[in-house]
Amino acid sequence: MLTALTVWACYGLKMPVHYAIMIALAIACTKGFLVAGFFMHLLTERKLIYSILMLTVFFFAVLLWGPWHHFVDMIGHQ
Amino acid sequence: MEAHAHGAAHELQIPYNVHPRPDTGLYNAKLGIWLFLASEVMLFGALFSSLILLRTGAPTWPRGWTFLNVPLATVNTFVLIASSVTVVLAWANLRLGNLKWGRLFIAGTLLCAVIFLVNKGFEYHHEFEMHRYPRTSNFMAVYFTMTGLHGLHVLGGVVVFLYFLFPGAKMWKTDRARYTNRIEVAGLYWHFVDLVWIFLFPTLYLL
Repeated sequence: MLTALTVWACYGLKMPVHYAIMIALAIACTKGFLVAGFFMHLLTERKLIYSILMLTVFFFAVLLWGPWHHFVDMIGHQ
Repeated sequence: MEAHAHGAAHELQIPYNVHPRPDTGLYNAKLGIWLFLASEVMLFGALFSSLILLRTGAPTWPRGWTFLNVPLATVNTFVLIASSVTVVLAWANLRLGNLKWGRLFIAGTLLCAVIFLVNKGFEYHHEFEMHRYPRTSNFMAVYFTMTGLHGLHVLGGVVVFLYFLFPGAKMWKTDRARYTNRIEVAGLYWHFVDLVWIFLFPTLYLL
């Protein structure tokens, strides 16, 4: 259902890119939460797994910070 | 000599493959797969990061839905989510001691994976027919790299599930709990592959 909603919102409505990005990512995050939380049992997992994932999220955020910094810098120069 | 050989065989046994380790609270394979998945997050994270960098730096960026096959990719999304359900059902049935249904659901997962790969093959074939290759543009380079790497992960899952469906299932007779744990670990990997596609689909096809 969420997949159909994503396709309809982005493909069917043909809305501006920035709105489409926000909606598509919000739906993808919801689906990701459902898969990770219930199928991968992350909602009831051990603390050690959470620690590993927290570390992963930190380094993932560092990876995304690079392009984000570049984007903000680019806007600043325009 | 015999005692030494017996000792060596004992040392080779991997500990805590069924029962959890007292210090971690997890059996070793489960901790191992989560560490592996953490490294996989970084691998795909680097590619997503490159995509953002290329997209924000480009004066124009094509929108995937204008030329990629969105209906086929939507079907593939349903197929992968269905395969995540079947792998959970396989594990649940094995936990209940039902090998027959467990194997049936593993076969269902395999079928979904094969459907996904066949659809992907049709999609690539169409792109090549339209003379769109990785060298064509930054978008196509990103598209082929990310979907190709994801496809390789699906293929890896197919190999693993084929093993557990046929030769690996012999373990059920000797060590049921360990076989069930193996399916759980393979399932965690499979859910991750599904999770990556959940983000790849809107990023490449819809935005």
